[in-house]
Amino acid sequence: MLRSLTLTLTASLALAAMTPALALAQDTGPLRIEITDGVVEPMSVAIPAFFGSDEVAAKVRKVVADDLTGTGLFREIPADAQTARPGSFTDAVSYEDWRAVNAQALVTAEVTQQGEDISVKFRLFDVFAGQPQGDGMQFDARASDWRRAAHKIADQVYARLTGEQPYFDSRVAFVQETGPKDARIKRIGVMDYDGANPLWMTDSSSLVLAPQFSGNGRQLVYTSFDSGFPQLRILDVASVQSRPATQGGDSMAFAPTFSPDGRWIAYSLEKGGNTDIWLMDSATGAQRALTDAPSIETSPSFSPDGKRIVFESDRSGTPQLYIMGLDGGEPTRISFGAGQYGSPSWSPKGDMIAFTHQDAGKFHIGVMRTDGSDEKSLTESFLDEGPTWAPNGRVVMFTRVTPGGNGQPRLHSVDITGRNMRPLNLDFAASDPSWGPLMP
Amino acid sequence: MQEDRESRIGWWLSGGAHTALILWAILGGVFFKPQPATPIRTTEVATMSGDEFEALAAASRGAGPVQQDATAVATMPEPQADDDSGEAPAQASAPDAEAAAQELAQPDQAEDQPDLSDFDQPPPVSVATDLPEPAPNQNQPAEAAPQTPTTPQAPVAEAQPDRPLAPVADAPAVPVAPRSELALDQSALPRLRPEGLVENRNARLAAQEAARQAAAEAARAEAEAAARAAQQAEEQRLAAEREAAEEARREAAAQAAREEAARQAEAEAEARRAEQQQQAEAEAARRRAAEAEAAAEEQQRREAEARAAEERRAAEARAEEERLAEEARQAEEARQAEAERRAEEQRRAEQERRAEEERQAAAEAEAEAARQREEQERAEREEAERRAAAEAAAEAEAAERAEADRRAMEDALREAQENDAGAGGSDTASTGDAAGGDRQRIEGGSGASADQDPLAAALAGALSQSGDSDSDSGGAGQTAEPMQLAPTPIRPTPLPEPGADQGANAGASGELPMGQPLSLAEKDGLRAAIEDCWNVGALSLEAARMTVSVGFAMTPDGHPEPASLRIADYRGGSETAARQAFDVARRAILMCGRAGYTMPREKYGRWRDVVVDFRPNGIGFD
Repeated sequence: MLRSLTLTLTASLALAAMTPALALAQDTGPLRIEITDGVVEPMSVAIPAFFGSDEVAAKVRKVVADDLTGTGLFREIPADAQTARPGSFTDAVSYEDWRAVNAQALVTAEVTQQGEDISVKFRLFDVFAGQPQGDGMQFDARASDWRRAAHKIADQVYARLTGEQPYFDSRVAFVQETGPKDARIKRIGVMDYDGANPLWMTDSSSLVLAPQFSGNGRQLVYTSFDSGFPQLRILDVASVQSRPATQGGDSMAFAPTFSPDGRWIAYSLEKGGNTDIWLMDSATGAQRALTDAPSIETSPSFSPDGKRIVFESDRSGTPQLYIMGLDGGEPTRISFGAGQYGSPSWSPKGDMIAFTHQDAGKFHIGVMRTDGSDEKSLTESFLDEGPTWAPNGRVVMFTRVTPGGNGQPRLHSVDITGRNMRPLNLDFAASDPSWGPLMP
Repeated sequence: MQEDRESRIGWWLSGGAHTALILWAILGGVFFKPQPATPIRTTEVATMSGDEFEALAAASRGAGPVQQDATAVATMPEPQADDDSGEAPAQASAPDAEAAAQELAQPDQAEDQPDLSDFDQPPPVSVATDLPEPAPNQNQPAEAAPQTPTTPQAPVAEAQPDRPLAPVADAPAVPVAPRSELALDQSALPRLRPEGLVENRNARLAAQEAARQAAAEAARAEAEAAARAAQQAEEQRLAAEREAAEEARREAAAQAAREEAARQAEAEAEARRAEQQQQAEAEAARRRAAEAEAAAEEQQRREAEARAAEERRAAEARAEEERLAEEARQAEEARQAEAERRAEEQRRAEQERRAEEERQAAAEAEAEAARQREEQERAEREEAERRAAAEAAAEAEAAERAEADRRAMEDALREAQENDAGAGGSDTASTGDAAGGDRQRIEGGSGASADQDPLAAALAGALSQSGDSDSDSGGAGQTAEPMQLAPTPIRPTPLPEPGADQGANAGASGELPMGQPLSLAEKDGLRAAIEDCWNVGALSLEAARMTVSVGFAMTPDGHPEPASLRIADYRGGSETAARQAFDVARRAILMCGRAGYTMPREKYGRWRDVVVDFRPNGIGFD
């Protein structure tokens, strides 16, 4: 008994003596903390007046600022708060002064013009790190392409600050609509992503629908009623010349889309009251059916690798989304929600599919992963339809139609986080957008 | 189908009835309505009474009282001032065509031509007259004299040739004076007559005239009565016709009303039937819906019950599973606790063992150190002794040298003293020999020398011992000297991993104020301060899904050192995305640390080095 008590007392004393050592051992590492909840707010960017040719520099600076702030991810430091403007493009940056106005990033640029050519160079600085963020760059362009040069600078800034791929220097094909709802006049146009520089590709003599850019942005395929029957036509954007792609006498062809490499065109073909997905070689015109079902299959969209398509089918009783390979096989259904799903569009990044969802009298633009998971509704309105992806897969553009007899279609864009939905600044009604690739 | 057939029949009947009604209304109107007469244009006419007519007739045939102007005619109303009957129409001012052609109101009944049929037409008689012979031109038509004022013929407007001529239409209405066949212009000349014939005849004529007048009066009265009767009859007929028409209209209206009522009734009946049918259908549909709903509800109830049962079973299963899981968990916890306890015991035992080892090692080290210290002390002592011996030997040698020098000096002096008479050659040889002989002997270390000098003997012993120690190579005094003098080799050492520099930090922090461990509030204050500047809105989608650990050092006043910021670790994304996430995290640390983080200075050793795990939670979608 005495021996046992002695052992216990000894062990306790030994343990008590060791405890500080253990605690010390635990506290000797670096302090470690975990942060999971940040803030979501625009990042403050200072874009002081660009050096060089005043008029062009001011225009370029405005486009750069509009591009960045238009994403909703950036906030421009007001000009009157910019007290640390450098004297020239090559001057050292006073980081401390920019920190004082809470500028997180700084963009400086210089524009020079020689005849019909302009040269724009810029630098980006991480103010709080006190160092340049990436190398400076210079873009040379024709003076008439000053907007593209500005888009290029904004693309670089956007990509470096967010880590996303750029998308500002891109174009959008669309259908302009005029006249009342029951007698619309439509023509195809192409414009900058922000609605500037609209160019008309067709006249208003016949009905046209759903233009789609090819992978390189040089061609458009669309549905035309030139013959009184919906058929496909391919249009060369540079020469504005079109040619028929299909000439079915007793069948209707519509809802076309290019494969990413531009070789194939998938479209809907109606024969004898049944509509299936068909595939056509854009060069030779050879065709074959991809689906063979008594239901209606339409609105195909290629995956970025060009090996699969997502399309809409009512084989289950209501329109839903399906995925299948170009080599055939049974389609796999990916949408299972209530209501109707349609007009799917595969993201250029390959990870998401945007679609139109109609449920309970409302239309939504939504996104989901390619296996149907993580479905999210980005919008809700009287009528939203026809989503198309920006080249970086971060932004979706779509058509929103206002209700009523005088309702007009308008183009809107929204970040796929659901934030920053805004209409395009257009002075005409437009629908059926198709976002082209990033221009070289 | 039956319903459609009845509906079609109904529509056909209704359509036929309406068509008949419309036809009856159209044709009946034609029959019963007065025929539209040609617009009658009237003009002013003169009328005369029966007496005036008789007088005129008598005058025309020469009977009756012949006045001075036997040919006088009854006073006719004077024409209007603008009616210039004596002038040609061409001379009349052309009235306005529109005014002349103005259509007058249609009379209720067309004016009949005077019916004189009821008048007696007396046979032609020869009448006596005292009138002069008729003028040669008396054969002219009598009406040339009694000009009946006529309405001047309205000039026909050139622009309206189709307009009917009103005066033409008025012609039948112009009263024409009755002409007797016995008119003077037609009567034969009277023959010769007997006396009194005239008076008789006059009397007879008067009587006849009276009788005739009476008869005429009676006839006229009768005619008037007949006319009145006819008029009354006509009026009655018209009234009857009107009544009949009215009756027909009423009948038609009644018929139409009846038909309409019938149609409406039919329609209402149809509507009622349809409504009833709809109601029946609706009722049936409701019943079916109710049945379906009931069935659905029943089905739902069953399903609900099934689900409930299933859920109960599932709940029970879950409960069982949870119980089992709880038991398993408890068992696992117990096992883990036991394992932890064992591990803890093992750890403690290990720690104890390590501590014991450390203690042993420390003791060994201490013993070693003591041994080394002892050896060192011994070595030092021996060294001191050696040095003392050496010094003694040196002193002895010096003394010996001094003694030898002294001796040599003495020898030299003695030799010099002895060789004052001339013995120079012995100087060098004797000096060298004497000195060399001594030095050689000492250095040779012969025992004879030790025997002669105790210090030399001690030195020789120490040296011989030193020589033995060298051979052993373990002497403390011999190993210490080369270790201190030899250069320490410098080799490159890999830097520890960012998370594995605890030993260095521990060593370093050993010199820093540690204080008490940081409290949770102090840690949370730093976390919240950095979090306020961590703007995840500008993260790419990939960067928003990954975790990046950022390590940095802080100055004692809480400022992060910019150069120390580094990626300690990242997972869940590419290196490019990690770099972008690091940029955002670095910006957050530097932005919110501009004024320095509020940290307890007395614990600086505990927060000088910080690692922050930035792990976005729910970023990407709202």
